[in-house]
Amino acid sequence: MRLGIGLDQGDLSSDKSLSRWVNLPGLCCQAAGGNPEWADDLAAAWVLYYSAAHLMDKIQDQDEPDRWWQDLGPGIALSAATGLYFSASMALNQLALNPPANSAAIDIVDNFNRNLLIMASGQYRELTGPPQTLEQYWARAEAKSGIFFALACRNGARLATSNAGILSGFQIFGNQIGLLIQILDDLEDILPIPGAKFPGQRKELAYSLPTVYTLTVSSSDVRGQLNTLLGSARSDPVAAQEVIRLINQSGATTYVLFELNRISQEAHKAIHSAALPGEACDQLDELVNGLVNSKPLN
Amino acid sequence: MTLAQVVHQMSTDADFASQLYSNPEAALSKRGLKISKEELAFLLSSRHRVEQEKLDIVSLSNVTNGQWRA
Repeated sequence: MRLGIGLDQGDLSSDKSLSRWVNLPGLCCQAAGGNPEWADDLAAAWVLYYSAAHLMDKIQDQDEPDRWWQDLGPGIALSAATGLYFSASMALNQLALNPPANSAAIDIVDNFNRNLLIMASGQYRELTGPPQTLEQYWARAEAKSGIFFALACRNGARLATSNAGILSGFQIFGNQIGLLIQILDDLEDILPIPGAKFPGQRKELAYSLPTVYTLTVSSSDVRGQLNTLLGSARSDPVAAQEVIRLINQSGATTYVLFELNRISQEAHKAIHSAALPGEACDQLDELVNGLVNSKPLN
Repeated sequence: MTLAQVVHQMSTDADFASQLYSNPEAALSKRGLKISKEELAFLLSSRHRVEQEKLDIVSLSNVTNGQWRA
């Protein structure tokens, strides 16, 4: 299970998606009654933490290296990730220097540290193999994507308010955005590897929601069959096609659509319970709509 | 888990799926399953879309591919 906001190429400047998500802390700050500029350091820290975590994740999963460290090896990537973590901490510490963010700085830094620790525990669970039940899947999805987006939203709002009820609403909103992104990212793991003909051959497929749903609801025979097929699908197109057949047969498409609709509704509810009506709230609504705006999803 | 079980049953048992549309409360209680009205509404609309647009997991993935990055 990856956490991705579109920085896979390691080239921040060319990635359109970054501009979409980097504004999230500022929008939440504004929607809670603050000035979006108060969240500039927070947004910088959030993106740097993301970049560090994403890099570490790639090393841990032994993914295809990015171009810049392809020849240099994972050691240099690990070194860069460490630097990114410290840079993120420095950006976060900037909050303490300027009013009005300084009054919330200790609470925000504490919230980041506690939740990054939970993310690290989620990363550890990845080493124990793919989830086998939906309960395990949702726990991991929250511990990775959910918490990460909740950090941006809760702490963006924290710059404007200390009201626990309002902060909880922003935290839930961020969590739901992270879950939606995780599911959409999982769906990409169904598709053929670039240059390949058949879907179902990516190694990440075993961690994806459609697969874990199928494992959860199927009989032990089908579960065993699917786990075996997942082991050989990468090099065997016939096994990959059988994986897709079993996933389709289980009703996974309906389940995934259901969850996308349910979670997006939860996100809308959360933000309307917490945010002040206005332009920022509308933009946060639109961010959710943008995630589920395809014809079969709306 | 119950919701996932309901989805699985309606995908593998045509009679149950038909009963779920016509008399959802009876269909669910007969099998000892329980979901909220809101969940049922989302479920039936999701199922309707899958059937109406003949979606499978690959076509859904193609539709959503990259949209959260765009």
